[in-house]
Amino acid sequence: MAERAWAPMLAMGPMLVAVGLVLSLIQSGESDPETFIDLAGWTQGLQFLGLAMTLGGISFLLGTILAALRKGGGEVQESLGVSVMTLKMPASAKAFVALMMMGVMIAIVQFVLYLVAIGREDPASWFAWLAPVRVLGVGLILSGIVLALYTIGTVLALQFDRLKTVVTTGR
Amino acid sequence: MEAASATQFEVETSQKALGYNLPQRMGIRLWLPMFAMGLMGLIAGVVLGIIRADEISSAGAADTIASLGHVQAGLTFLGLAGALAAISFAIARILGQFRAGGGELQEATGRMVGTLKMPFSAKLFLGTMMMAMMVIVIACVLHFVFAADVSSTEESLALSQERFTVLEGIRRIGVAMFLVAIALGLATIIQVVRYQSIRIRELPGEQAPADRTNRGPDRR
Repeated sequence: MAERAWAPMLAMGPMLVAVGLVLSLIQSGESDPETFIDLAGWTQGLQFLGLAMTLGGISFLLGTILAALRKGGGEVQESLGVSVMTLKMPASAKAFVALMMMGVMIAIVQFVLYLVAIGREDPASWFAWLAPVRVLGVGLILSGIVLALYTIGTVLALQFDRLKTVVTTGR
Repeated sequence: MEAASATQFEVETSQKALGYNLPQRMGIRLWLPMFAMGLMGLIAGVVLGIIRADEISSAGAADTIASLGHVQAGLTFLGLAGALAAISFAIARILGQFRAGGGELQEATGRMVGTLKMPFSAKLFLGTMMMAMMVIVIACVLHFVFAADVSSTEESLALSQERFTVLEGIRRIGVAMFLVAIALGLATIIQVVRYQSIRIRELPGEQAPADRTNRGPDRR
């Protein structure tokens, strides 16, 4: 899934951010206060949704790297004629997937809530708590990226160790 | 096309694997505390955001709302700094695995161990990361200081808003510097992978050093 999904996510993310930029330029020239606040909601929602999609694409790319390490490591062992040892999915990888999905879901929810807020009488109070919520969504995806990088380090350590064992014992 | 050679890299040669260097040891120890700090800061920011939103909707005191805005921004960006620092430390850990694992693999083959000297991109990665962290921490500390300085007068509220705007710019510069540092860390990984793939190709054709028994402790 990661191998297929990273490119569309990385393509969609900057597009949404660009749309947000266009809306912010329109907003800067707007004189009607209600339309100004409506455009503010759209801009903020879209830009953070775009940022989350971009970070989600990076997360999928990291998943692709992990898949390549798994596949490549297995093929090297197979070509050497030794028994193939593959790391079971570590807890850090499971947590990476969970955090990434939570972060992307929060990004989608914050976008929807921004649209709900601009239809209400008092959008300012909604905007006040939506701001840290959207940063939380981005932060969760970044935290997922931390765990993906940690998992890559763990996989590399295992692979070097396995290669050393193959070199010294031939098994 | 001429095959690449390890001679195009600056390498330190030794009998034994050199293990982790200081930044890599720090990365191995600090990624988890930074990760925890990041999550805590972000969650605290959300909680304060909800409290501030409640103040706004119940027409609370303007100075309280302004103070909460500063504290919330400070905590949220400390959380973001923690997450970005954890990414940087995790990258340092990966570089450490390449250095230690690559060296041990060469040692296991009985050949001389070639370890890449710290590339310029790695030094730049460390420097940029430290500067980014300092910029964000200073901005967040100033947020907390200015939060305590707000009063209910118009001038004070206007000054608070002005300070918030300036600090927002400084925080975002800090985040951008962190992203540049992360890109430099990834560029260093690319250099290391290139060197290791060349070195591994060279190993089978290399002669083992003439006399290893008199150097270093007995490894049997």
